[in-house]
Amino acid sequence: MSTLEDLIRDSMRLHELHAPNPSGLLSAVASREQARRRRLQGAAAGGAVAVVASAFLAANMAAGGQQHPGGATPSVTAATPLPGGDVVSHLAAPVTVNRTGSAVVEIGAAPAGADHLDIELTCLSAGTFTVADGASMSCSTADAASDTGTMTYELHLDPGQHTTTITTAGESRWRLTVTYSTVRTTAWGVNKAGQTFGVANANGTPTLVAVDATNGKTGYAYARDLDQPQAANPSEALAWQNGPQKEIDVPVYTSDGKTVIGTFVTHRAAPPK
Amino acid sequence: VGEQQADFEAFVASRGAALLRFAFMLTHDRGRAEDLVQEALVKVHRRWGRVVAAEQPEAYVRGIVTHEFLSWRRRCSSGETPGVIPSKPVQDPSAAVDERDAVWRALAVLPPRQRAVLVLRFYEDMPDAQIASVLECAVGTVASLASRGLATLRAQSWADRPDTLRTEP
Repeated sequence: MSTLEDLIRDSMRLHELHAPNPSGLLSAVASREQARRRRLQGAAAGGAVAVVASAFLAANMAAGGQQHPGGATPSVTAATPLPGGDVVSHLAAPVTVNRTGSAVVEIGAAPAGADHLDIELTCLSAGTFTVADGASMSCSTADAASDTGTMTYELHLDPGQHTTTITTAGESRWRLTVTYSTVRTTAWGVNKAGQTFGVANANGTPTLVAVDATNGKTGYAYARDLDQPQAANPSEALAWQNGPQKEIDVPVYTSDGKTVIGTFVTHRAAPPK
Repeated sequence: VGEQQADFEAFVASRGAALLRFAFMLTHDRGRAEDLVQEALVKVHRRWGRVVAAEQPEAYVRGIVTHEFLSWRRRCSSGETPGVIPSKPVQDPSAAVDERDAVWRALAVLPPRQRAVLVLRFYEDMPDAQIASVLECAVGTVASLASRGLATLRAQSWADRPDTLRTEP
C-alpha cells in the first residue's frame, strides 16, 4: 500500500520534464538580458530601474504587444498602445522567406521614412537563431514552427540598408517575415492634476506607470511607490541587495491617480535595521 | 568579470536542466518553467559574484525561481483559491500510473504556496527549516501549508478510496 507521500514523489518523477539543452538556455538568458537592456534605454537610472522595468514589462503585456505582419497592404500594425508606448507602422508589403543555415535576406529598396524592420522569425527546426543586432532565440524540436518558436522584433534600419542577416549553426531551418516599418513613440497622457501617465520609454518614466493589477485590470501605479529605497552609499546598497526582499502591495489607480482599482505586487529590499 | 562569466556559464550548463525540471514541477507548464528559470538567471547573472560567494548558489537560484513563481501567480491571477480538478485524463492502462496522474492533476490546482511547499519537500527533499528560509516564513507556516496541501490532495484524489491511504508518521 502506497502512502500519499510516496505517490507524490512517484507522480513528480513520472511527470518530470525532459529539459532542453542547457546551452540553449544560456542563449535565451543572454537574449532576454539584451532585450531588457533595450527596453531600459533612457529609463530612470539608479535603484528604480529594475522595478520600472518590471512595470514596463507588465505594461507591455497589458498592451497586448504588437500584431504580426499579415497582409500585403501597408498598414498600422500596433493595437492602440498605452500612452508612451510605441506604434509600429508598416510601410511596405511583408517579405517572407524560408532558409536553412545562415543567410542574408534581400528585402528590396526601402520606402521613404522607414527606420525599422519589423521581423517575425520562426524556427522550423531546433537551433539558435541570431538576428542582425545580436538578439537570439533558441528552439528545441518541440518549439519548431510553433508560437513558442516565434520571435517578433523591431530592428533598427540603417540608411541604405536593404538586407538583413539571420545567423544559425549548421542546417537549422527558419522562416522570416520582414517588413519595412517606422516606429513612433506616443506621448504620455496628462491627467487633471497635471500628472503624466503611461509606460516608461526613452524619454524617462511618467509619474503614473502602467501596470497590471493582480485582479487582471490594467491601471497605473505611482513611480515613487515602485522605487527602491535609495542607499546612502555603495556598501549600504550592497547590504540591501544581498538582504531579504520584502513583498510590497502597491495600489493601482485609474489614470486620475486617485481612484484605486487594484493592487500591484512588487519586491523591495528591506533596509537592514 | 571574465572569470565570473565563465563561472556563470558553467553553472547554467551544469545545473540549467535541473532548474528547469524544478520550475516545471512548480508551474506544470514547460513554457512558464523556461520563463521562470530565464528570469531567475537574468537576476542572478547581474550579481553572480555575490551569489557564488554564498555557500549554496543553486539553492539561492531555486529560491529566486520559487519567488518568481509565487510572484507571477499573484500578478497573473485574481486569487489563489484551489480550482476544480480537470476532467478525467486519457485513460492509462496501468492503475498505478492513473493514481500518480491523479496526484499530478491535484497538485496543479493547489494554491501556489501549498504547491511550492510540496515541491520543495517531496521533489527537492528540503527540510522544513530550509523551505521556511526560501519562502521567508516561519517553519510552522511551512508545516501548515504542507498539511493543508496534503489534506486537499487526499480529499480530492482519493475521496472514493480513503482506505488505500495512510500518512507517514
